[in-house]
Amino acid sequence: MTAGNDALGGAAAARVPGGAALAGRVLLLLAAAVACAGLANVLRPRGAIRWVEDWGRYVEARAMKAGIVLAPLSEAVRAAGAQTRVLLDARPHHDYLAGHIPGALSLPYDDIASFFGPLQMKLTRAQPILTYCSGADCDEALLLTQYLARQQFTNVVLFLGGFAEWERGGHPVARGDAP
Amino acid sequence: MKWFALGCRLVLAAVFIGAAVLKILHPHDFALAVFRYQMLPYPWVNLAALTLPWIELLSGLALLLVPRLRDAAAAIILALLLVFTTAIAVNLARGVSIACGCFSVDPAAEKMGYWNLVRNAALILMAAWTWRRAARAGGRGVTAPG
Repeated sequence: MTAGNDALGGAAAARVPGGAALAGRVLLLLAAAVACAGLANVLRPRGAIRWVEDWGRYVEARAMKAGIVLAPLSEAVRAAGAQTRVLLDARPHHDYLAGHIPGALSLPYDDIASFFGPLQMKLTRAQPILTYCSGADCDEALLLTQYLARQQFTNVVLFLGGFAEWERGGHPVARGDAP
Repeated sequence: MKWFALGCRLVLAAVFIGAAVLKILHPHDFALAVFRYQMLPYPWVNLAALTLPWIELLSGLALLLVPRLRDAAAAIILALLLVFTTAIAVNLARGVSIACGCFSVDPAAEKMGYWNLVRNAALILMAAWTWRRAARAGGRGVTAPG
């Protein structure tokens, strides 16, 4: 690196102003960094990651863009334990029956017309609500959250990690139709 | 003053080399941290996540080990600190609660706060002072004799 800089700085810098010489050295460092980044990415044991990726396809990106508040696992645990929020399970109803967060109510986004009416009677517009679906890649909870916002619910957060993160954390699971 | 200058260089180099290593080892996790700042167009996120840690690492190493590149390294570190600090301040102002992604790529790490701005302000002062001092010495260092 010193030799490279000598080549850059030694002969040329006598003829160029200090600012230009500094810019040259900055560019040298940046070019070296880009080269190292490219080489390291190619040589990565677990495979290169793409230089350009459309993050807009991720549910999290869509949620953040929509201004939806994201809740971490700790908030889901608190909501389930201390009942600080109503938990709404946006997965298909058969997934809810197979296992859900204790206390959660089933509101499958794919059948929202059937389920929302009866549930709506139990909720107020300012009710603190937490939605979830199967994990970070499903979008039913996001769509449900947006639907609730359109219905004037003002305090809805999205637990992005969903049921997968809940199970991974070793938390209890309820089964069947009862919350 | 000489010892103070050495201390500043050591701190800045340690911070930037230390910050770079985990990001280089886990580029996609770092990309997620960059993405969460919501400051870059999405197609640029991976590009930034792949190159930034290497810029940090080489600048830190150059600041410490390559006197001829010290002014350039200090200038880059100063510019990076200004960008990082702006990004943190903007997200704090937005009320976004995310991990800093500065020394850890774990999204569950401690959320950033005003402490990060105070720390970065101190680092910016050190980098600016180091750059100014190195630029004076660097200017002499690269001028051909005669």
